Amino acid sequence: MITSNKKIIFTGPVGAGKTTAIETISDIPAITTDEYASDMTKSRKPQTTVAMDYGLINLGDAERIHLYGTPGQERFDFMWDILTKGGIGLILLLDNTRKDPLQDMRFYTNSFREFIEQRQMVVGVTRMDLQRKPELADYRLWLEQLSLQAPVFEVDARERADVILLIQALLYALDPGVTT
Amino acid sequence: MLNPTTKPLNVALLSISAHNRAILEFFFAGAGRQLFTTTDLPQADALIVDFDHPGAEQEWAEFTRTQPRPAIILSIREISAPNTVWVPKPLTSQSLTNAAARIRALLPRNAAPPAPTREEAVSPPLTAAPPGTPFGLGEHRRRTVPRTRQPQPLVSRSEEAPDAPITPRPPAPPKTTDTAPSPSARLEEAGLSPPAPAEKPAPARDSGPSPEEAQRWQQLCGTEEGQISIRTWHESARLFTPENYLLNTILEALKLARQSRQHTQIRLPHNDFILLMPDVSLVYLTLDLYSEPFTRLCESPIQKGDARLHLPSTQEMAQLAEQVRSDARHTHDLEALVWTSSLITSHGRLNRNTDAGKPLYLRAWPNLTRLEQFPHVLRIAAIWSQKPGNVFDVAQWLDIPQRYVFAFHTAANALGLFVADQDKIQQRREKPVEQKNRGLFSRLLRRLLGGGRK
Repeated sequence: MITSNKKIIFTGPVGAGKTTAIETISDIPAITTDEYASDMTKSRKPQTTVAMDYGLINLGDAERIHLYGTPGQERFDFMWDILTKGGIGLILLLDNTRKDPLQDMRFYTNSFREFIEQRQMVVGVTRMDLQRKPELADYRLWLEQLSLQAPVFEVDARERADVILLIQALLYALDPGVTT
Repeated sequence: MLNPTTKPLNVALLSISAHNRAILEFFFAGAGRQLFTTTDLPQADALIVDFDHPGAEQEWAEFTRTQPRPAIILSIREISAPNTVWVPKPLTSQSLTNAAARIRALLPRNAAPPAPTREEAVSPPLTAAPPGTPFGLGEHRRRTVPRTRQPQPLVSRSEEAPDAPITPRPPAPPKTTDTAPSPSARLEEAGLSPPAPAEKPAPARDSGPSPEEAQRWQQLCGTEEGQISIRTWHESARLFTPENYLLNTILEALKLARQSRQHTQIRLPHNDFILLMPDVSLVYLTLDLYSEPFTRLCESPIQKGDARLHLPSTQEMAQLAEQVRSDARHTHDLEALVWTSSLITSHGRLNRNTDAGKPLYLRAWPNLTRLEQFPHVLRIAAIWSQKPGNVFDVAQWLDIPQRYVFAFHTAANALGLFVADQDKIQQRREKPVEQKNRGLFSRLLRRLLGGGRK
């Protein structure tokens, strides 16, 4: 019998790697809801998530961690209020090759501000191998300017170890007293 | 504001793309379930129209000419039309809730629906759905694509030999030695809650660290188990003098490179060298950063003249650029060089030149996906970013051997990640520590790190 359900939410702009990150660590084949994009997101990837991605980590018969990926389109932020209910924390993935990653960070942290302040956020920056600038130091500075405290890491969403480290950091940031 | 006991409004979605429709249905199935329910056009009390959809305005005008209905207009631009309520994008729960209330005022009197019972009005809490049911998606609109193929790569790695990544995979997080609960008093002192009651035994990991991992951790953090105190640390033998080591030259070179904005070379014995490239925050080494020769170079005091700074000429730079291009696997992040050389130099000891008793906090976490890890490194980063303290405090709060904290302190300090300003420390807001989910977090960590039940 399922007695405990918690969520980890992955958010970020289109193409930042949310779907891939969930697929990388999910115990079940990730459920994605993709269709061909018909708007400006088309320029970044041929398919984009329309509602959400879903994955799962089983902790045994009685516990599951649900992994939800928000859609990249910015105009549906009302979804996120719903998604965050019961959430452990937020993983924000940012694409370093996008035109204005600072604007992306500002947008998503603003949208999830209350949740971040109540819980915790971890930032993963993708595609840094393709574009070195901005650097992690820039992201750290921007977070400071936004009065937010969050770990920032370079990640490759295809790498299980990278995605796991994001979750480890999230859990330890919430409670450094956790042990394994 | 809408009366929460009012029956949902029957709405038809007009001129809305499939993915926008899916999102709206998500909302209607969750937080908006008391506000709207979707229906076909003939049964609808009102319409929801996306005016940003091609042809939407025309379709709406034609429809309402024959079957007038109030409509909620979604658009990024302001719309002012009779019998409509404009909702600007981006949509929010609040704006849709307000729109629901306003559109009801436009309905004919006989369309007012009866109020449901109290039980009906209360929607169940939105918790995660069971697998296979991404909650909130309208059943008829759900498009699930099982993963039947490998995820498409987001990017292709540039110019790296497949068997030699630019950054080696750091050692797997350790099988920690602190499975026993930490002393409650120490955790409470740190603002942490006492540990959860002991969990049912579960494998911490499928296996412990490999001999190579264990050996590497010894190189980085030493093996010292003993404790030194804040009163006597400066008399301890567990100190090192950075001026005697390559680390000092690396930090000088880094400073010079950043100030001059030029590539800077550290020339080493046997024609080996390190090239710092501050414009791209990269470093090239003729020695492997994670090799025994480099470790030996960092762990022992160097002789004068063994490491010399050099600013390459234009001609030299052309040759160096070619070498770096043809040997990309020896290129690393600058932070990786500073981090690893600091750890090796520290070897679990304290820098003699720092005030180890001074409280500090971590203004940013090291980039631990691309840096070498060692036992407890994430916990140290976590607690030091939340709570100011000195090295002795941190080791005590986490109940871990001091050598790991000393090593972390040396490396994070070299990266400039600490804040020691007492005013800033006092202004630091401490976030309350999560405690109720400690057992769950432990199980999740064990599961992710290779142990725990599926």
